Amino acid sequence: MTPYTKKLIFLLIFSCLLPNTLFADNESPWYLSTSANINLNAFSDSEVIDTQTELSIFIDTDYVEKFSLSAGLIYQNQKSISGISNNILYLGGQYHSYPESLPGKVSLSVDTYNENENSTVKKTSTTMPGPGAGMPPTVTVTTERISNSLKIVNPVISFLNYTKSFYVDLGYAYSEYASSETEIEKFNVKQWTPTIGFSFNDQYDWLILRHYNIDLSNDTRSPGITKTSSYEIKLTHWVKNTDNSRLDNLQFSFLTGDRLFAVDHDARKIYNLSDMQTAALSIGGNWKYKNKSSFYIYTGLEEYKNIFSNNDYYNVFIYSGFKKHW
Amino acid sequence: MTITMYSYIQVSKNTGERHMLKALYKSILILNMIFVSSNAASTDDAWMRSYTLEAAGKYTAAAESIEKFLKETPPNEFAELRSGWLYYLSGNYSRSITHYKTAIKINKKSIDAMLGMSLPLMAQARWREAALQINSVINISRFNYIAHTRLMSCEENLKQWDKLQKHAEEIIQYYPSDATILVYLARAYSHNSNNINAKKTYQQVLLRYPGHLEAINFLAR
Repeated sequence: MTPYTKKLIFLLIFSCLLPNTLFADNESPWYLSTSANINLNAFSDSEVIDTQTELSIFIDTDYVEKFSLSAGLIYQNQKSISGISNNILYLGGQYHSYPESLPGKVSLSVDTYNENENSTVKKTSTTMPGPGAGMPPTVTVTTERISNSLKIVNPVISFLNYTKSFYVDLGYAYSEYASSETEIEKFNVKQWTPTIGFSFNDQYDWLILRHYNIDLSNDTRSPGITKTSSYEIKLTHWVKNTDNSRLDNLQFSFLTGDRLFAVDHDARKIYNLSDMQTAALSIGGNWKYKNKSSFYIYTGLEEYKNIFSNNDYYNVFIYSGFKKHW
Repeated sequence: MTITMYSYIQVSKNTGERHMLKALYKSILILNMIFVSSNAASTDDAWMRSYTLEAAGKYTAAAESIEKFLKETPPNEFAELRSGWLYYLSGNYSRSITHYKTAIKINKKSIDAMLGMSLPLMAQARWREAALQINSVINISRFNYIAHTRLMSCEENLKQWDKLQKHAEEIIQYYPSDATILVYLARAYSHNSNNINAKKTYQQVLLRYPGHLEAINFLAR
């Protein structure tokens, strides 16, 4: 566990112990929420990876719709050939401005993800005996220390009009991956995500269209690929006349095209598998209880292609979480 | 300038010169009166023009017509308040907030300014900041009707149904004939799954506001 991780866990525990009165509704300019999430992934037909479990925890503070600060920790564990686990520290900030010349709010957010630690991976090697020795091959499993690092800076500038009927944003993400294990020790990814969104059906429906344009610095880790392009469509439907503890909204999303090493700034999700994502579909819902707590669950299917072996495989995932407003 | 001239007349010894200076003084006095009255007329005109333009729906022009008063020293509280209101009407909410903030700086007790500022904040969907502003009015004026109904609107938009229910239940006791508070109360009951009380409250709304569409639609369900 890195010093960052220890500090963050302390921060999260401390925030949960804070008296509610400090963040009382309408009486304090500060607003605090915490969330805990789990993301379970099961890969079928993959030659490399079986499952991936992701646990994440976030703390978000907001100062009366003027600025917000967030921190979080994402833990990933893969059951794969190399059995990698990652601890990613997330830090983010957002500033809102209300310019006179525009009929809406302009927000600038910067999210950062950082991982820099040594991990132990399992290595399997097979030693063939000499010809005519009559001995079976010897399989040796060893553990090896490798150093992995991941750094992502993800600034986004967005505009939302006051009637909340139109939204536009432009996101950029610079990701730097480094590993002592792979042949290509270091490479970077530049992602541009122009997005447009609008509401309809008396604002009970919200549609977002996003284009992922990704440039890869080095094509040897992803042979022949220096650029990927994909489109995502996300529909959120708010349920009319919801009661206190009932379903608040339903969400459907669909992705088409190729996507590699993407960063989703809405979901605060990093797609750090080194295989090409070729399609994705998800559906889910968000339940609210007295506007103080919410529970959400999404499930979906993602299609991947291993670029080295041309192996197509699928990932069935369940993403669920609980959010509490203090 | 008039005073200086008058002093000069007082000290002058020469009679001819005195006559000449008296004539000059009279003409300056007349000119001065004309200037002062035209200045007052121009002040009145500016305000009149501002009201006329507001009535015609030309809110930005109405605000611009009183812009010169914003440069005055000491600061003109009323000009700030009126500019805040007119820019709110024109849809320039950020500029409206700037003027209301200045008005609050000039007079920290101004309920007008605090309530005024809540309007552009609400229009920008800054519900929590608006609620903070309104709460500062309630701290000064505990049962201010406008403050409470605007706070209820914030609570509704923040989906604080429990809070809205308690708030409306309390305030309706002070304004028992009011239909608006009852509508907020009925909505809170409905969202809190208390349909019996929601129906009873909407029936009360209809007594005060026959033909109220929301109440009719709810009771017809």
